[in-house]
Amino acid sequence: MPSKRVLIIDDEVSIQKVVTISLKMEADWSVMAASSGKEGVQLAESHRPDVILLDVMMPGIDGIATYEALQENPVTQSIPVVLLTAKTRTAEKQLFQKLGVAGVITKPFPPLALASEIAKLVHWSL
Amino acid sequence: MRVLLVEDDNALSTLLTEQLNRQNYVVDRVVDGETGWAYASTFEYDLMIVDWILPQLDGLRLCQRLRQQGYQLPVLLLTTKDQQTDKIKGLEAGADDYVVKPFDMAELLARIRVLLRRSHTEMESILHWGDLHLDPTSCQVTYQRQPVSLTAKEYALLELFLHHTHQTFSAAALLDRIWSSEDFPSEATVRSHIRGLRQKLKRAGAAADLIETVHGLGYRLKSPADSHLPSVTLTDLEESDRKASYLAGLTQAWQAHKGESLERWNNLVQLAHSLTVHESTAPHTKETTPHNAFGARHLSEQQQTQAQQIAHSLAGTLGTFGLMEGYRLALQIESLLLRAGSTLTPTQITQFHTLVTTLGHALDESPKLVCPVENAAQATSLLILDVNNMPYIQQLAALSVAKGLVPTVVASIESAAQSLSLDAPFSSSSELLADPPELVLINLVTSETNSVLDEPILQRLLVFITQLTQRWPQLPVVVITPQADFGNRLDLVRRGGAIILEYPLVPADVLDIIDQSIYLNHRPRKIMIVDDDAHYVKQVLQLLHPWNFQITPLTNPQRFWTLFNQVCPDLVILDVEMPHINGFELCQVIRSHAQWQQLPIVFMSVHSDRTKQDRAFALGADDYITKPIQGKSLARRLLNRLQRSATRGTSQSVP
Repeated sequence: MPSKRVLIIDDEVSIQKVVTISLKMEADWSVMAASSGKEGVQLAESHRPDVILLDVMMPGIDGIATYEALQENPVTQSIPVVLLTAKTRTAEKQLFQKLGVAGVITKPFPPLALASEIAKLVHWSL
Repeated sequence: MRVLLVEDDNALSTLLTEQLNRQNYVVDRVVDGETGWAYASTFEYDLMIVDWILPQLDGLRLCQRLRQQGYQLPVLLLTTKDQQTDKIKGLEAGADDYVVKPFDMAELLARIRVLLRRSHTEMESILHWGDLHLDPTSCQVTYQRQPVSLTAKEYALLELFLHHTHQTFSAAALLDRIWSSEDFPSEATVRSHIRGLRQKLKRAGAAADLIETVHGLGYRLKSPADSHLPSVTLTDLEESDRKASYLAGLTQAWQAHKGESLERWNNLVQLAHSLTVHESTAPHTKETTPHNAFGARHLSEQQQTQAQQIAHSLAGTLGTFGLMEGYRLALQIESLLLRAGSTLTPTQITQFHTLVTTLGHALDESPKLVCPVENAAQATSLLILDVNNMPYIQQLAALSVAKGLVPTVVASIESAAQSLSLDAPFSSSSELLADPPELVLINLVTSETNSVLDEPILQRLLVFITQLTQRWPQLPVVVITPQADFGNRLDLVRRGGAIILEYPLVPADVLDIIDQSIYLNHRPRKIMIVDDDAHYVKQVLQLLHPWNFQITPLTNPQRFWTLFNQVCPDLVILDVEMPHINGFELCQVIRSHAQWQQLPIVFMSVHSDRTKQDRAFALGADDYITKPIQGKSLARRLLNRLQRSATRGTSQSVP
């Protein structure tokens, strides 16, 4: 499996950095980062990453609206999206499920196991 | 490993020596370059740490002299000089690595390990992984000293894995490295060779998944610890290197971005302040929140949403950086705001204030590597069903908040059923179900004066208990009832009620029982096992592993008393015959202490004769188990003992 390209959309730069370190160290994946939903959609369209990690709670266009924008765009709609969020409640889980995202990863994610979690959710196999 | 530290800054040298000693390095400290040279040329070291600026002979010249004289040991140069040209100068002088002061200790230690490993690997010709050895010079592979015959490709694969013991290789990466471009292989070829290699290793006695598949990523060597192989220092080093590097990255990112979290926290502080500032002492401004006659405060929808979002984001960030206390507090704040809605009661305001203040202290913690599942401490949630809105239950709920519990009081069976996902079909995935509370409390009391519920409502509540315990069999259900005679108690127990409390009893007592029940449900039980047969102790540890007991093994009974007092176990398992002090004597010592009269003591012995068993029981044993024993059966017997001793504690505290 060639090295994967991941787009992280999170308004917190610290989380972008931790995700970058984690994915690089664990699986040598390359990570590009966007700090807002708008920037994220643009990057996704121009770079077509293999997977998008999307923070749910962001100021302005939140994660759900960003996901919808990605889905409406024919260039980005087939890119699997994994939501990144702190503890989720039932209603949210149901909503995420209905949206059709590839999965949800809850922060804090286990150190040096983020790539395996993503791979599991998007069914990447050898 | 021996390390020579050449550093003239005494404080730094002391700190470094302490840290290195903690990592089991033997450190020699000298303060100038000439003495450093004298030491290095006289004694053997595995590594040198050298400061650039030193009296007599500086670090750079010391490096040059070492290399000129043919010394190959790794040298790490410490310096405040951070220019690129300085680094090049240092490396050209013969240093292997270069660390600029001030440095991160974890990073420095990681770099030291990498240098040591590199030099160690170069010296070592035979690659090994537990009992598996590969000699690159003779191309021989052995498992437990038995030769393993491999094809050239299988050998090449194994050699690659052994050179990179912790790396996962995708099929594509393996194709690149092992197959030439003329081979035109497919990924199926890789799978086929991996399968062949696994089969041969398995036939030689290795674990079938010694080369494991990492779903979606590729293949790697399975850790010897997982394969029950002896630990390999090289692997440990690599793993700790990886972790140390990751932690260094975390620390750096946290230091660079801590300000963002502080800013978020500051917003919460301001809200807490606006909630506590009283209108009588401060003019009503936008910063203060309106309050009603009972001291409750209203939050605007925007304030409420914003504060919740801040707490939620903070929880995510702090958890990601391993600041688990902060993570827990932020989640508690979020949960408190969610429960409170737009109106915060005086109790909730005080709680909010305390949580925010404590969170401020938690932000001073340093990042850590944590396993979130184990450490994600959450406030204990409690669902209380009270169809009569009794002041008694309100009092109980308020008291439970003070004790750090998170109660949700619902007044209808429908609401309770909804919170417990009782309406969802049984086939629903657990992901779609609401997180159940830690405990459900059901009030069957109607009021302080008229204690009997109307029959139809009572029947509906009883049906609810049945449904609830069917859906959540592990969930403790506490029922408060005025009718706790044998017949009613039997009915409630049959429906799944775990603890039946007879009304009237004061709320504080109810909470003590709830506390204990939750505590017992979650706390790992501490078991101490004393047996001189180390092999058997190991077996028992493996047998009991799935039950999550916290087990302290001890093979030398002479160390019993010290360890026993440190551990304060919930149960002790004793072997009968042991050198110096036998199990009967240990049992007598335990029982001679008033405080340990109730401690469950279980004997485990190969002796099945009646006399020994009688003696054990006469001395105060609770059970006598004859070896050998199955894990499940042993666990059940131990759990029974633990449960009963716990229940004994509970019943003593119930009035």
